[in-house]
Amino acid sequence: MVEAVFWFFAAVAIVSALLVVTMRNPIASAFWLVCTMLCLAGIFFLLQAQFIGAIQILVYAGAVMVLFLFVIMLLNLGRDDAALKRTPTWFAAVLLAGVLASQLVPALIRYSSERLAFEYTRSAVLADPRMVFDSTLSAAQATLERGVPGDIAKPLFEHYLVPFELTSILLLAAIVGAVVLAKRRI
Amino acid sequence: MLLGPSLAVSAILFTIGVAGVLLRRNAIVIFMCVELMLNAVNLTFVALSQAYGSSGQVFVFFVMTVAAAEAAVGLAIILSIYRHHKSVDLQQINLLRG
Amino acid sequence: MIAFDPTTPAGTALALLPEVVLSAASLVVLLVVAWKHQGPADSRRAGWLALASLGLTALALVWVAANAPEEPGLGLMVALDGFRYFASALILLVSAGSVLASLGYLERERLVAPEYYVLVLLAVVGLLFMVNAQDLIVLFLGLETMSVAVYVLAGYNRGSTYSAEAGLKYFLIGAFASGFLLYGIALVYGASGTTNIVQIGAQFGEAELSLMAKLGLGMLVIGFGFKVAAVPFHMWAPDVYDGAPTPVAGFMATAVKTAGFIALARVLYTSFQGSVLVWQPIIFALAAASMVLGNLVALAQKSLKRMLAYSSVAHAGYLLCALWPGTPLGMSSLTFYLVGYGVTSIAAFALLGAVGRDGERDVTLGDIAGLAETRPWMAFALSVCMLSLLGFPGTIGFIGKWYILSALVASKFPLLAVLLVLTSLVSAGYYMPVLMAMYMRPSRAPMVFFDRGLAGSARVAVAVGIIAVLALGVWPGPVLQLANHAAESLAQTAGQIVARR
Repeated sequence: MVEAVFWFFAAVAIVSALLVVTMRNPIASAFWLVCTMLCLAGIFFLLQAQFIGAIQILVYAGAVMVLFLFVIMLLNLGRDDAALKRTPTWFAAVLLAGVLASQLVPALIRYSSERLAFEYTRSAVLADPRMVFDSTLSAAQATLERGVPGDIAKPLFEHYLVPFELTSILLLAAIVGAVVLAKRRI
Repeated sequence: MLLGPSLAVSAILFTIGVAGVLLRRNAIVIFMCVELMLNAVNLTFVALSQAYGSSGQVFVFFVMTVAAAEAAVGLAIILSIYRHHKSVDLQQINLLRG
Repeated sequence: MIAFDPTTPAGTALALLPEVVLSAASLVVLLVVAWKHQGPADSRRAGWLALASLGLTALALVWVAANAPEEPGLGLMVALDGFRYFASALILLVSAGSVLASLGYLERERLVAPEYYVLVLLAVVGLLFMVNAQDLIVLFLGLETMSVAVYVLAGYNRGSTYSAEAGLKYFLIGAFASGFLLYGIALVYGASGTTNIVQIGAQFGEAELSLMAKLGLGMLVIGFGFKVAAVPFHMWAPDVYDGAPTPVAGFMATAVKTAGFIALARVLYTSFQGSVLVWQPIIFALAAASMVLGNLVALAQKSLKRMLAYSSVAHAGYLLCALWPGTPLGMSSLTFYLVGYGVTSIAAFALLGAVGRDGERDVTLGDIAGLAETRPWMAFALSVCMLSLLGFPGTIGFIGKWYILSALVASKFPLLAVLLVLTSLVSAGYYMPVLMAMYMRPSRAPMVFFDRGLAGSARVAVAVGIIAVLALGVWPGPVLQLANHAAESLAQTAGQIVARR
């Protein structure tokens, strides 16, 4: 059952992603991108990442895509682009993407948790205990004890505190940059 | 559970995003394709979080922050180029070439 | 002496003291700018404040370097080794140089928006995190912080179509490259179960890499290839350098490139130290392509700015050569060459900014003809820069290239060394005409710009750069020693876990 739902979401996500690339109208592209993101949120729920799934819908499908649509509407770009011509560049791009996919997909689809664990433990040095979070708690147990967001909050505010603080500088840079660019005159 | 298929779907979505960046000429659509690539990577992280614990989901958080910051600055840049060219089509914009 | 323990939160804050100081200082500058942002005087004040912030950061860096514990511990987010200190100091130095060059430049080009300096400081924070990162996530976020600020800086001259387009191009390519880098991080995380650069190295060890790890490595190299502008991922560089304000182009060619190479070197030498044979062919191909294509296309350029851009692609090739051997000697030559390239390029871009107008897009050899008569010192300085980029004996560029060659020869694979020498000879074909134009051709009367010349602050940057180029060209000992020390400490960091086994 879960697998059937997964493949449904996966198929819709891939088809909508293809439509993002092939639709000539930017607004249509944006809507298909929202569709892809919603399907991904569905997959996240299936993979027991409920909080991330919710955030995906709120932040990505909600905020970021609205920003995109806002700009498209503001600039009145809702007209069709020129059709994709089958130029040499077109073939080169498709070829490159084909090579990339043929390298990645067959290699990755064979991974199972067992194989990952096998490759992981095969190496000479076993992992430093500190890098695996709470090896005493299984994932399900951790979720039970701390709740779904708490399970993410713990590493976020403990082990990954430095990158978390760094994101604040990133956001500051983005704010200053956007304001500078949007000012009428310098 | 579903680790391999998730990774494969993620790879396919990533490749579609790459193809879109290379194929399209509209700056906004290219940027959407970049967002698609980042989303594909998020799926990889979430799939791996099943094996390695919730740190994978923490990374998704960071990626979302990055995507939001890039969206803010990127769309401002696209607005400023539109003021010059009244277009966001890279073929019409290209003054500097190669 | 107060040693601190970087495994505790307070110790982490101390280990990140330079970054913390610079972030706080950039907030102060932002406040001052928000309060006073009208005329050129306010812009100048912001510039001097930015310089002071960089100086304070350097002091903090010295403090951390002096007080860092010998054995910082495992699983840290930030590295505490000589490699980081060396790279951070170099980045602070070239950033100060580009701030100095910007001071007069922005006023002349009527770009008086003091937020410029805030963005430079935030970009430098990102760069410092790139070189101190011991975790791929920190590396990625540092890179993004830098990128977001530099996207805006590249498009800073909004009145100019070319600058706006440079911003757009850098943004689209940069975001695309970030996607590859991030996917590489995800796959490496999948293969190793961690994002800590040292622990990844311990996890992979000497064993053959799993398929997922190999794919991740490939994606990482593609992402970094874009960031350091190595062929075939270079096509953005000439256009972006061309359109961006000249001091920003200088900043990108020096500080950003330095951080990119340092981060790449740290990842390859630490996480993938056991799989040298996997990444050597990739680096070889990138290095050879960058040297050949960069130098050949530079020959065909008319505009000096584009010529410098392609020359920076070629120099990415030389730096990749230094990365190739995978030995401490190679690493040492990489860090030393980065110093040489950094001080030379900062001076070269500052000089270029002085001889033209409107972004220097159309400064050709004809425009600098006879510069030796009207501006002998500028002509002298530009000649020194060109000779150093060429690798002429007596300049730091020569010592750097010679050092890379010795690292390549020591690894018993001279093909890259031969290519390096041959392409350097080719590069004389575009560096020497600059000298000949300045000294042998008559000046084109009447002068287009009577007031061309360096602003006082830029003079300081150029003078320091030229003195460094010449002094280190004949007496490179101390910096070489520092570079050696940096390379050794990187090897030490990489060996931490293996040593404990």
